[in-house]
Amino acid sequence: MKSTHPLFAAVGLLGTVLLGGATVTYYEESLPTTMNPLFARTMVDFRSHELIFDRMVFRSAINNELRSRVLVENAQAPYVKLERLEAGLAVKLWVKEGVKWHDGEKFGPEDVCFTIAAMLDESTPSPIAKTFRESINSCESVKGENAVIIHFKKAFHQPLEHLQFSVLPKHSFQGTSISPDLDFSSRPIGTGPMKGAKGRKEVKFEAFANVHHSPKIDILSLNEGGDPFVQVRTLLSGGVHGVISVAPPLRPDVAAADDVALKSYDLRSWWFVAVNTSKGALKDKRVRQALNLTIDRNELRELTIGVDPNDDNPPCEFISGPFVQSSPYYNRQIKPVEKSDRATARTLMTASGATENAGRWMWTDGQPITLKIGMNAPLDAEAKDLLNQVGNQFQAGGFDRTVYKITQDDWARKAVTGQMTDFDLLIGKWSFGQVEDVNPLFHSRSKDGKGALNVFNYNSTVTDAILGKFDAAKTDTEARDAYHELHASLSDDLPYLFLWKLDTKSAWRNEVRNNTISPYYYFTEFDGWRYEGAAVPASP
Amino acid sequence: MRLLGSRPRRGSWLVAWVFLASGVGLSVQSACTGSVPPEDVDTTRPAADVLPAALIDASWPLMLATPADQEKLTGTSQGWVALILQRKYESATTQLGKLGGLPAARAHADQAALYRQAAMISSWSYLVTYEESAEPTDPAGTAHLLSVAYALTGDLAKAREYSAKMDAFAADPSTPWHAPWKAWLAQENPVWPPDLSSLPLNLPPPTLGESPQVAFPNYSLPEQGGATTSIETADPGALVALALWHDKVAHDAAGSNGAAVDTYLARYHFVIEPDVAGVDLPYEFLVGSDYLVPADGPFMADLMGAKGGAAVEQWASKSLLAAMAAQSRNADGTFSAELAGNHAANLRDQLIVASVAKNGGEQDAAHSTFADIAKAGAMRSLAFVPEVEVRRQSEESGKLRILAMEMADTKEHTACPAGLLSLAAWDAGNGYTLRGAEILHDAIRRYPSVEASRYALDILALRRSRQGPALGPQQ
Repeated sequence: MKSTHPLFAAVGLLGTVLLGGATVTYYEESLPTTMNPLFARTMVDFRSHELIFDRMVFRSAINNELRSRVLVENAQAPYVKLERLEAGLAVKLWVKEGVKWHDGEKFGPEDVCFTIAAMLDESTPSPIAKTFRESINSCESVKGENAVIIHFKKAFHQPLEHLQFSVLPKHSFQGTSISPDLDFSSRPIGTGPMKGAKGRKEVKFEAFANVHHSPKIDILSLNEGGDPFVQVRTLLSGGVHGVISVAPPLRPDVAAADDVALKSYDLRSWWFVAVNTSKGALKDKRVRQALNLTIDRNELRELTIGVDPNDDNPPCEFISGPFVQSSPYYNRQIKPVEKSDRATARTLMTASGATENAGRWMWTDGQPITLKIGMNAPLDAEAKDLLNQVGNQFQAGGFDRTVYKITQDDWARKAVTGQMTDFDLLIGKWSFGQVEDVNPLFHSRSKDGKGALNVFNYNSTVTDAILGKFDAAKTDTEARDAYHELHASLSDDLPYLFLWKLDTKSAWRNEVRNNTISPYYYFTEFDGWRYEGAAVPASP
Repeated sequence: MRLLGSRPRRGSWLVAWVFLASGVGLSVQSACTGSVPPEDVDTTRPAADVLPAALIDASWPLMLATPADQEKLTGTSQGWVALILQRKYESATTQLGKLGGLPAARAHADQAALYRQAAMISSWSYLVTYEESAEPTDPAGTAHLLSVAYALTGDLAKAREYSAKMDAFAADPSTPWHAPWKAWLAQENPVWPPDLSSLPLNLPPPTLGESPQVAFPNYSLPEQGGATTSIETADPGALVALALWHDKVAHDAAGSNGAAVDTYLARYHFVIEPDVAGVDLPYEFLVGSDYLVPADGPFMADLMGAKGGAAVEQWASKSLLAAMAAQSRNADGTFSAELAGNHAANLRDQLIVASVAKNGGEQDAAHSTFADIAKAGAMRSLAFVPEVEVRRQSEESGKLRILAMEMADTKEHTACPAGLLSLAAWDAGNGYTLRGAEILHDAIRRYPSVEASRYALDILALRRSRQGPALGPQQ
């Protein structure tokens, strides 16, 4: 396979051209959709923004301690210097002196309060801001002290947890109502270790020395990854230095290489096929259940991800609901459907009123049931040909299908915002950190922002009631019980056909040293990264 | 330059060892010359100090450098393959149990370490959840859980304080489970271990080659403050009891070599356990372990005991791990995980080169396998140095632990279950659950009883999940 791949010859040439000086290059799943952290919609966005901006507070990638680079710290834990005020309803924090924005302007308390004001401004259409609106009330600068006082809506056990937002430069905006289509979204100004700008084919980051950052890599270049095989071959041949997500079938090759290391990236990701419960035959739960039983997940996983069915610790594990199996929210009573069950599927279809005609299911209107299936295109890099394989399985089960790859941009702008309702099925994945809040995926859409990521505008009073229980839970047990109930309910009603959890592994060449990868945000510890490879001529 | 006809791939070493074990020697013909490094040696890494050749020569990978050496080991029992290469402790215990003596003691000792670390996951999870992040609705019976957690982590004053709180909750479901701890803590100078025989676990009498399991959940603790829910939980005492059960079998099997068992386990002892007067580890406790040479055992015992960081310099001429620790210091004397990681990588290379030389210039598929195990084991062991010298949550320790875990992800033979659970426990102590939850989820497939610690880790994960800001799902 290695020697016959048609793109292999080109890879060697590309490698020769890309390596040069202290530039470190890596393949991402896609280009970021925006460089404004208020409007981050993808994990690529979050990872990229971590290089350019400082979050007020972050957690250490190693020992999980709350730290800050832009606030004054104590010599030992608890690190962030903080004074609790108003019985815990407010905190006073001191801003570090001498920090500069990438355009040379001085960073100060007014930037912190501006960012909070922008997030609290209801006319800033930021889903991330919504999270902070729920916990923060206001911010005020403390004159003469280079400090801020932040007021919360309630006294939190750990208020710093609620300040993990990227700080924006006040001087770059006209007011606190921030729009996603400003120039800032492609040419951002931050205080992070790298300054960067988004181009049409790459994002180039340049080191920006600051009192609070000392990046040791001069230039970092983000390139959009294409064929996963090419990504890995380019990495192994030295054409790039890193690949953010290595497809499972290619991991053994990377693991066997002496000069490349596989790195863990803590991210809870699970894959799904969203079902348009408002469209045609799919309105009928029995049809959705038949589809669920038509999928042979074992075969699908083997064909697209290459998992050995006898591997007792596979990187890809089936799920029966909207959580990974290791999560406390996962209801372990609900077993995943691993193999197809065409007989039961046929029974369900017949009960729904569909009729079988020469191996094709005809709906009650006499027309064949045709499924328009879309998939977020970058997923193809992790699960090769998943879209076609899913389509093939449905076709083999008697459903006609048409398949479409959806660009990352369209996916982010239209699919997750409920504007792709002409599709019947959409294949995607969701990623989570330590907090697993799935309410935005399944709650019916409302004016107050609920159901903001409800792909097909699924609307179920039963589900809404369960999600309400989760929101109202007074104890962790009540919250867990609500999500266990949700899991059971969704696995029956099937607005999603749940596929699997797939862990993410990165690979970096050994010349890139001390490359600690942070959970979720990835580049939080980028200051420590070094490049110690020999400089290679930029051209042959 | 490629020196061998075929590079060892994941799994190939296992095939090699299976062949070896069945009497069919497998070594790969080498065209090795003195000027070219053997295959599988990383030449891109910066040079680090060379480790003492005499210590390298005395290490267990060199003891197994030739096919004849390997046959001598595996010829006695396939249990060694299960223990060292497949990391299947229960299967290894069954098989090595038939041999009795030190091989059986080793297998039971490894399980004792595993259950100790599972108990530590529970302990740290309870401490962070119910002490650092307490809620008014937390059950009254958490006093028992905290008492045990404090006892295991060495804070007897706090353990007694929470034990005293249990006096007010005589009808609490956890009370019968607290009774033996209460009795033990009531002693002025309690001597480890507590007598946990009254716990309703139905453990069989200590038996060579057995791997008993425990049932759970053990009880439900009603939540307070108007809550109507209860928390099902597994008692951490059950995991301690399992660890002690394997301890007893290991000591019985080891006979007069009981000190070797204690030395071997010192690194994974509970803080409350007494210091160990370490002895040189015998062959059976070295092969495939995280230790490299006999003196590594007493070095680690001293490191974990009263001597602490002073043990490094004291043992540097006799212990390979101590020598690596001594060379892993920055100019200011602080411990550097990066330097230690480089030394561990260089250790691997030196072991391969020395093994090839000892094998008459032929590279065997097992050489890199054993060198991998040694490298990962060294990182896991060295991670304790900054914990002892600085503090438990030292970032330098975490870096090494994570590097070892990343190696285990792709090289199963380096995936020491006790080491992985130790990382999960370390993470739990830091209030971080993502990595530990995955580690535990995987471990439960092989060791059903460690699921007892999932009850505790889940409670911590729920608490952390609900106390943090909900950034929501991302694409």
